[in-house]
Amino acid sequence: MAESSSEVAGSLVPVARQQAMILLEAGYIWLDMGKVDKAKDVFAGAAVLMPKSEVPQLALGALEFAQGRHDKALQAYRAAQRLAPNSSLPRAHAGEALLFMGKVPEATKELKAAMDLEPDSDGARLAQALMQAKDAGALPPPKK
Amino acid sequence: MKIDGSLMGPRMSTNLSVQKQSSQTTFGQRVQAGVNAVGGAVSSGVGMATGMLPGGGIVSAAVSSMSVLSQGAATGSPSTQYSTTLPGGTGGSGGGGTGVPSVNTTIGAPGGVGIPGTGGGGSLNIGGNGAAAGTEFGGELAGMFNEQKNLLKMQASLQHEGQRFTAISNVMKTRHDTIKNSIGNIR
Repeated sequence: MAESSSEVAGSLVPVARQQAMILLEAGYIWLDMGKVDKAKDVFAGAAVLMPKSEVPQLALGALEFAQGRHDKALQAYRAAQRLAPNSSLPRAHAGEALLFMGKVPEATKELKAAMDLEPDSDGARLAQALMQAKDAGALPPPKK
Repeated sequence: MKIDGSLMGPRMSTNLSVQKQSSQTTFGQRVQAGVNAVGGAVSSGVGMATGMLPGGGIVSAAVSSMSVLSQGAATGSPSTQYSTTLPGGTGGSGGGGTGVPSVNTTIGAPGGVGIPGTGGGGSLNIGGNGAAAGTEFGGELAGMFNEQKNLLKMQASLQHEGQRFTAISNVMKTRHDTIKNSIGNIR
């Protein structure tokens, strides 16, 4: 089936970009409201609907990260990285998760890779902000 | 004592002469006043200048303490202010025994004219007699120094906290923007 430019590429059923955006926005709103289960349903559904897109995987990673499950978040970010190996954003998020896990050298490596991959991208900016926070001593957070 | 020669025979008066009380115009007193004035001027000047220098708080505290000492010295021995503030000063030649060595200001050595109102041998002793007072001022100075040190520590700590806060805030903002853009750019 031919996909139009307004549809998300590689989706299971034709999903318009706007619908996908609304779906993901809804998931993040649930997450911000503290309704983790509902957010998980939405993100998991989006991941099934758009198996070729890294964005739902990043959302699932953010969901795990918000609950403090940094290892699960890292797994989701790695899945996103496999889907978009040339994107800096999954690597920056992976670096963030590693930083919170206390693996500073690995995190630094990931963040530097994110900055090198796409220097002017959102991923590079996030990586840079994380590096600055690390240099300021704000990250990694102290262990409880 | 004085010898009264106006009577028939010389007669000795046994009234004790009283030291003049009115004005403090002896050389020693003038030197003391001058030293106090100079100390006050220097301390106020340096105190103003330290505001422009890094780490000036400690210097300012030390100097303002010196100013306090200088003010207090108007009624006391002039040597105490120097004996407590200047380093390495032990063994003033007379009186105090601690702090700045005494200043010998013998004038007119050939004639042997001593300075009126000072110690023997024509030497003006600014060594002072205030060992106890010096300790007291030293304690006060140390207290102020510690206070300033704690203040600086707290200031540095607050600055550090501010930097951390800014860094975390920056990360959170970038993260939010990133997620928003990733949703908007979904393909």
